[in-house]
Amino acid sequence: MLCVPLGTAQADSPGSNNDGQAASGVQPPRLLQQIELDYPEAALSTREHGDVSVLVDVDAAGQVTGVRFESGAEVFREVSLEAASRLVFSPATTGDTPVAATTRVLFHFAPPETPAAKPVAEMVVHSSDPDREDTRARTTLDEADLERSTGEGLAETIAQVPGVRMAQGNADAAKPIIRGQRERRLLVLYDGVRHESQKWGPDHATEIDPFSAGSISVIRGAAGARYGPDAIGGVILVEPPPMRTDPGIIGKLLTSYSTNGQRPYGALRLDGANEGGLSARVEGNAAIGSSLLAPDYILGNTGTRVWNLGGAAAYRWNTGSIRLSWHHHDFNAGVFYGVNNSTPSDFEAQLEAERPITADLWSVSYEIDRPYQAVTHDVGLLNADIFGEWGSLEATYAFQINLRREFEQVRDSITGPQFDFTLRTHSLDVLYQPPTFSPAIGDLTGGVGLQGSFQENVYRGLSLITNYRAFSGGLFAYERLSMNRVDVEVGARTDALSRTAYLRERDYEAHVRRETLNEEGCEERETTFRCPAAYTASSFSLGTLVHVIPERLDLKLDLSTASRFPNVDELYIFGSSPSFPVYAIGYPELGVETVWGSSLTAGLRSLWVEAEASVYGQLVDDYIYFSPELNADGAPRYEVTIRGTWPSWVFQPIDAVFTGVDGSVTLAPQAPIGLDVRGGIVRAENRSSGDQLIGTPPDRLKIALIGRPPKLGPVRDLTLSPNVELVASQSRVDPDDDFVPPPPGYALLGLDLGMEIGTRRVFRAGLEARNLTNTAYREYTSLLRYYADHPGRDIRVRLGTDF
Amino acid sequence: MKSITLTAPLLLLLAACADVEGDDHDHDHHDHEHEVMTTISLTFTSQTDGSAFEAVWADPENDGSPVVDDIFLLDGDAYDVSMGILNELEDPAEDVTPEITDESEEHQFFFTGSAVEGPATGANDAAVVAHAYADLDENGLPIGLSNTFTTLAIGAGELTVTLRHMPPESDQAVKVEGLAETVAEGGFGAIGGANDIEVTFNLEVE
Repeated sequence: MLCVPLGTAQADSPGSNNDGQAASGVQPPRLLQQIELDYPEAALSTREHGDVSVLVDVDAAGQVTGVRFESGAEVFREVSLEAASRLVFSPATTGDTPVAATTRVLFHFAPPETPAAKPVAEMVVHSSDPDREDTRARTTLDEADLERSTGEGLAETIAQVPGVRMAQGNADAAKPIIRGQRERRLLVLYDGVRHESQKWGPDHATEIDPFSAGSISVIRGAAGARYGPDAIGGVILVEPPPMRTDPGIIGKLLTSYSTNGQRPYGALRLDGANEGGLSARVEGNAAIGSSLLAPDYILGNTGTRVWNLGGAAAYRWNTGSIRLSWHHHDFNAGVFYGVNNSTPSDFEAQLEAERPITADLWSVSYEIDRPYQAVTHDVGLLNADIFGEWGSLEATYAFQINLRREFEQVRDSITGPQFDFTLRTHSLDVLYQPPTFSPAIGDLTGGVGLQGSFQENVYRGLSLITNYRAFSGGLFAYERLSMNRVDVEVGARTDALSRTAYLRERDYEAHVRRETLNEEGCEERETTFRCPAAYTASSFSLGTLVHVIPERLDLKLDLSTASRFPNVDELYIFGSSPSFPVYAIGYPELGVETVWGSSLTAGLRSLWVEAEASVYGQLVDDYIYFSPELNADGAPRYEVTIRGTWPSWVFQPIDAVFTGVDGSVTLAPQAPIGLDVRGGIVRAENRSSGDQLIGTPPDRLKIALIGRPPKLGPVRDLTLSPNVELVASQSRVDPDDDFVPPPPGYALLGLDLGMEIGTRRVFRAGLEARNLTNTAYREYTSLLRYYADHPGRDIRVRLGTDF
Repeated sequence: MKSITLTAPLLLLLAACADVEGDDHDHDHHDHEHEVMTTISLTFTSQTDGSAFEAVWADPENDGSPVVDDIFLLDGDAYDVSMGILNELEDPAEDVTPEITDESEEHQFFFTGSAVEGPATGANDAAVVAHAYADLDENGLPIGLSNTFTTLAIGAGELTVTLRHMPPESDQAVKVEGLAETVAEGGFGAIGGANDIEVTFNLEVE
């Protein structure tokens, strides 16, 4: 016999969100403890199957205060109500405040498998927590988590997830790293749309505004079968908060100020809805920052100006909804004066210097001088969703324009940008999900979808990235069987890309001279050479989730493949890189990069311990690796240019293996004093040489002591958390493979403080202090480490409220 | 790899595609936005007889395949050496030298290598030629667009010419006094700015 309550979340409109999330600002009650439940004897004679829905009122202490039968066969009414009244929850929360809420519990009844069996069985509870249900290691940051990072960029915001690191570009532009894989091998989905930008640049920050998110989920590991190419290292799912459904207007206001960079930030969101099913949203935020401070000097010209503006309108009816939204991101940032594009010998000399040569000249200023970057990203989308007894169908069309302009230090007579990129992407995503099918063994859910996109890149400037036009398409299906204690999910996907690159004569001839480009494959035009290429890839996944001890201990095993098509820069780049002293050379014959990944994740939840740990291994075939080019005798090759002699670095396929462990342990999550430990270890090797790959993040551990003092007058939910972050030196990488040996390990002290104030209007306030001792250190994964110390002590205060 | 041709009809639906193909956009204008230098010439004028010749380092396609002249000087002579810089990607070639002159307080040439002894090298017993600056910017600092080379001995070696661009940082001058001497002591890593040019010639005194 099976009696399976499915889903404790207040049911949103079915199918409106594939990944599941809480209603705006409120985290639903969470089921803490399982109970036993009998299959009613009265139903034995007919061996009836049935679904029952019960509404359960849960107070702010987590106690069930009321149960109401909503739907289902009458024969199951009594046993369902009785069972529901015995359920134990942790209360719903708004921010960190427990609140009373009503939640819907679904029971599925199935008769005992043999008539002779005792008509009693344990009851198994499936939570609707998407992190727990995903067969991959997945962590969702909800609105409260996101609010703790008020004013920060996407990479900083998600770096709190174990196994996620960030790569700082020049100073205030950071990119995420998941399990040692950087942005090329990560997929960012914004509101279900693949974020398309110039991902290749080490100092190109991800153009996503975290404030526009209601939740951000990070999937660690390959997820290509579900999400498509590029999802080799992981997926970052940025989901906006659900549109408002109740009539009226609500708002959210957040402010913060960072001492390092003297950076004020303000954000406002307004959500409104009427009784006719119409809803609308406007939101925006802005920040201005001055030059950042390293412990011993100013990081000259690292000021930033960032603003975002967005809006959405939706109409909802009984069987569907339609939504139109648009977001604009605008980012201007100085490029640190110390990042000079000079010769390798200069570069090495500066590495030996303790401080940048001209550091004494730099002053703190909000002014942005050359060199700087100016980036805008616009995304507009139209989403339609209909559902009925036949299932649900969702379609999203999106248009994105990514404009990137980089201004170098040049002679006064030159006023324009030196690098100017325009990337336009149209995409269409369609997903059909049939209704849940419930044969005797369990529940079957799934979906089929297709995805298509058209993209064009226009680059103006000296030869660097070629122009191109690309069409891509993907077709996928997944199916999940949820049984008593075991869920099994399979997925398959096939993708194709057709891309035509338009090479300038100089680049074309340079590649032909190197004998890496097949002349037959290109067609000469007036000023360019048209070189088409097509790629296909298939991905599969098999995931298993075992509730070893229901609601206490889960095990997840995921076996996945994923692929990535080579980017145009990897194929055709030919020139000195703007911020790294190498002469970069693409390899036009590169093929598809394929990963074979496995990941085993254990999740433990009890009153005193919450833990998640994951071990993983990934074999990457034809991993496109950027490294020094060697002559036949093993000596490095150089390119002679008028600006000096540069080592030539090429993109070449190698076979790589990534292995690692990441996770977190929280002790006493509810007690006055608790402890949180999280960290990650990654090993990335060249399978043929055994060498560790350059850029592999060093081992890392963060330990936080969490104090939760009792309520103090109007101050509630006070948390005080001193913490220490320990980072080892990356000692496994051969120091001769890089321009400079990896920097030493470091320990940083921090302090986090959070609270809620007020009774009628609740204000949420917090303080995050980082690098309290103002320790000078360099972060191995950051480009900045070649040039200067990391920014030093920063104290950020924040205040937020809903109205 | 095979091209997929079914995309053609879709193209008709999409506007603003043409500039991708690069055939019809004004890329000359945008190249001009770069500080492109492809060619540097050193004009040697003998102080003895006024005869002149030019030694050129040229990568006119800017693709890393330079053509480099060797320099031959006569022992016991001194030469006025003037620098010329071109962007040969433009047609006709753009003379960049006047812009360097206009911004001389941000630019300086340095002369180093086994063949040279001068402010940027310190003592060099193997030198076959001595370098001295023969011009000053508005702040009284050397530029190196005009120089004097005096031969020291018969022999051969390398001459490296470096043009350093040093725009102000935080409105403070990066080009300051004594840079050549700083280079002599600590190499180019010891001064600010970045290279616009760093080329090497073979130089022989006969």
